[in-house]
Amino acid sequence: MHLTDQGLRAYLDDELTAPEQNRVAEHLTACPACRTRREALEARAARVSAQLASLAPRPSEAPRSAQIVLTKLNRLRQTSASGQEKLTMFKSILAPRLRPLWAGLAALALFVSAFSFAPIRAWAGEFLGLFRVKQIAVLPIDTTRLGEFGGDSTLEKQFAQLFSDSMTVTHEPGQPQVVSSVAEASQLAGFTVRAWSESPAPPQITVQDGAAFEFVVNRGRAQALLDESGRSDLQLPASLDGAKIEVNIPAGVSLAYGDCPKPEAEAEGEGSFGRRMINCTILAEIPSPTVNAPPDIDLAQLAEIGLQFTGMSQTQAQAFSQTVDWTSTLVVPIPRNGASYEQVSVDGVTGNLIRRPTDDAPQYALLWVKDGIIYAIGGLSNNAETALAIANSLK
Amino acid sequence: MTVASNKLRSANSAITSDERTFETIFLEHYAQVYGVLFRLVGDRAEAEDLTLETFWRLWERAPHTADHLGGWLYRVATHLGYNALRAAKRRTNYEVEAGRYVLEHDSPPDPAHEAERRDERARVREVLRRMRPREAQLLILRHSGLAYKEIAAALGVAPGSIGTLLARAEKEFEKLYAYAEGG
Repeated sequence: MHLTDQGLRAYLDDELTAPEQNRVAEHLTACPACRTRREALEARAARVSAQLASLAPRPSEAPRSAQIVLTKLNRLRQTSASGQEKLTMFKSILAPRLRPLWAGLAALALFVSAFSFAPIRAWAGEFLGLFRVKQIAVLPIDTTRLGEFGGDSTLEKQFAQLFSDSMTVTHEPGQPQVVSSVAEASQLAGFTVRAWSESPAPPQITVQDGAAFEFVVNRGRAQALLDESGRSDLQLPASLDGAKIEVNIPAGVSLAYGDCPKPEAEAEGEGSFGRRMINCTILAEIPSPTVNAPPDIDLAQLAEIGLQFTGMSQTQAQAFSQTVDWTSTLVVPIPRNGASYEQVSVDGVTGNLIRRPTDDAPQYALLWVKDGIIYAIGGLSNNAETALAIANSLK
Repeated sequence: MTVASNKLRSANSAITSDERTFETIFLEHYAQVYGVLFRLVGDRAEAEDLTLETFWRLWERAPHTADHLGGWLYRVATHLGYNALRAAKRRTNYEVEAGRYVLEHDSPPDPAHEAERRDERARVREVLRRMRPREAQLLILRHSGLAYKEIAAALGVAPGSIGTLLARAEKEFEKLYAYAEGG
């Protein structure tokens, strides 16, 4: 009986037991047919081996020292073990089920609990949110002051309570739906979804249902809370009382490229979120939310109050307020010390690239508005080249 | 012959709670896991990231029995690396790579030689990309220096079938390689 490929190939690699090696060797001396096969197998293995050898790392491609990488890994593990501290800023934009940054801003009253200084965001969301978005402005804010405020949880609860008391949800958002194609997403979301035309692999597409709510401003309670938080210098205009504000957030779509966690895995292993997202880039698209408010509300004035509340001086607030068209600008607050931003040319318009550099989990978000659709790309990396490449090849 | 898996077998199975064991495993396997990943992705930074990811996953959800640890580790690494290989466009990091070479060596590389090497790497990876995943992974693991037993554990196949699978994978590789060279 002749030798099998299994026996011959393992023999060549010296992977048989000693008696087996001997048995094969004996057979080979006696069997010319098997010798021929052995030679063919051996020659081929050598050729393939030589070709694969080109892939081996050269000295200049050796990894960093194991000790350095281990230190980094241990730091990640400790961070993870001590609770999720980072990623709060872009978590919304990166979340597989995409709780979008923009919707988060417009619908703050719904989503505030995730943020440590939620009430301020809520204020900003209310006052800066009366618009249809045509552009985005990034606003660095001083988080140390917000931190002081955020520590007062009683006040925080009161703000949250005020919002929930004043708000009526007129359209509950349904569960996010995973769809299989861009066409299906477009149909479901009601606008033309654009996808990365040069993507090496199809994205995981999720359609997030729209939401609508309205709230009626109770000026007295809002002012009382301002007073209580030590900002009685900020006076809400009397005209605000009883104003009915309607917010309508259309359905949005998220496209996850790369190695992204499945939506259902979101809750699992919270601490390792950053690592699980490391090779994942999320593109989010949503038509501008619309906000209807009584015409006599002075948006710039409210914006200035909101800005001062976040820690700006009156002069700063006025100066910033004047640079912004409050009826069409989505203002994105970022921590002054923890993040940086720059304007970049993207998709034929000007966008904002926000970065939050950290050693372990650097993050970026690229935001822009085009033809009434707000786009956001988020990822975990120091370089946002992928985001720019995606943004510039949307079809 | 199966040095790696023997070391693992002797390790404490309660890996996640044992700092020293985790570090021991990391230090023992780091270079080889990196070697597997570098061969698949061909980029130092990416291979390092994926190596980190592999060990992160080990720490996060290690298999319950240490017996399967070696196989588990290389299974995760080859999956990550192979997916990255599949996902990668035919990137041209050549300039970057050449630049790095110049920085790290006194003399610039011989351009003709470098170009040849790049082309060869690109061709080999293209062949791997076209192969059936298991066969491509098998070749990479074998050529990264893993023993049959370790490969079998990583791929979830019987150790006694590795010789057959390897012979078949080499045949397939050669066929596709010749095709790539001709085309």
